[in-house]
Amino acid sequence: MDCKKIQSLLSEYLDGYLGKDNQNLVEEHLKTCHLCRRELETLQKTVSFVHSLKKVEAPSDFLVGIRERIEKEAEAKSLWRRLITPVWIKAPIGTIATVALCFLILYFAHLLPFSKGPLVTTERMERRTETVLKDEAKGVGTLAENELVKPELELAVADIDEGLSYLSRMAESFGGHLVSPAPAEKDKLLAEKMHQMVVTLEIPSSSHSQFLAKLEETKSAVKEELEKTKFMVKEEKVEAKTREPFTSSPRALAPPVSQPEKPKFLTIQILLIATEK
Amino acid sequence: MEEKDDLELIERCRAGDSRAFDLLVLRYQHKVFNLAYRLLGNYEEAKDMAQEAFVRAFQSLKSFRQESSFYTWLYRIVTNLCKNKMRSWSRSLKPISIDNPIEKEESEVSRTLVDPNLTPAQVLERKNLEQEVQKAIAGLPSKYRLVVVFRDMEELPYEKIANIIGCSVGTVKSRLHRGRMLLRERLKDVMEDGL
Repeated sequence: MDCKKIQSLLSEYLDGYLGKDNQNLVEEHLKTCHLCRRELETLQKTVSFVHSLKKVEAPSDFLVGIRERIEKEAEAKSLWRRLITPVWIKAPIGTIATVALCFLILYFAHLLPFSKGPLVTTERMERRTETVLKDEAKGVGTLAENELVKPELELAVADIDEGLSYLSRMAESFGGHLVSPAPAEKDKLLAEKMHQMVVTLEIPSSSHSQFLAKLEETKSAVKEELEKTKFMVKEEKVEAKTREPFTSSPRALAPPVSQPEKPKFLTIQILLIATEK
Repeated sequence: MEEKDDLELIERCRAGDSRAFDLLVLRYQHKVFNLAYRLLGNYEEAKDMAQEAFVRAFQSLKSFRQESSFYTWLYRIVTNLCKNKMRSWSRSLKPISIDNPIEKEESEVSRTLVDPNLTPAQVLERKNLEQEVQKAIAGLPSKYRLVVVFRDMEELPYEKIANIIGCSVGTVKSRLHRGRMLLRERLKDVMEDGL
């Protein structure tokens, strides 16, 4: 047997793990081979070096450290359980599944306004913004043609001109004034014999509520009159209009218009509708 | 006898007696720590891994099936932790304390050199030898280091080493042979100096 083969068995030979046959082979070879004997010696020395390394003891706080770790992990686990268990474990899965299924059915049956509501609102907001911007660009309260989501007030009158004069006078009696239509514009619109006109008034905020109360009275009076003259009040929705609701419009990005510290006016838009005579 | 005692302590742990687990720690702490230290060559890392091994053993005590002894099971846990640590070092290219293998060197020496009959020169000689050997072991690839430490330090039988590492006895034999050859190469200078 060659030295290479013998040397590959030396590690096992040293540990006494060789079978009887191989052990005899190695021992016979070692008797005559100085090189392999030298190999075995150095190997034995190597093993004895490792074996001679002293056992290193664990530090004195070893056990304490383990206890601390165990306690810390137990605390973390219990906190985790407290946070998670009520939702995922305690709630019966069947209940969760049932509730989820109900929502799904309602959703597809359009019983819940999940999708339509918000979309419509957004659309209306955009249209409203657009309308106001358009109106302002013209400087005239031309029609929103009922596009306004919340028309300030729609008032049915027998005659547009008469209704406009009445509103103008009433505004002035409350310290307010007619903003639009401007006199020239008014004549033009009247000449066109339009059946609708947006009237914009500015009423001091201090007397705003009284003005609205007066309007209510007027409407009632008009309503009574309607019974006789077929005038009719179409709808009554009053809104103190300020520009704040349109902060999402491009205008909002422009520098704020300087407003002197005069008595604050609230703008009211009224849609006058001429009924058939 | 020791294994029987272990099982009794384990049963007490399972029944909620935390003191029983303390006794298990005290019984095996030095063996587990020494193994971790020789595998990692770093005092603080060894402490961390050895403590972690006991914590994991505590947490998994319920699943301990007694297919092997508690001691073998514990060794397997600490070995796997050390293997992962060594793997993470090799990935991050962190040097494995080869040039400066023994951190907390002084405290270790003061713990291990307990022979009062040694002269100062012999103490120094011994210290140098230990450093060289530890450095050589730390420089071995981890698969060889494991079997060398288990066999030549812990004197475990091949079968047990195979069981702990999770390989065949044949693999243990070949790795041990290769590991010892590499170690002999690294310790050639020490042997020639006659230390």
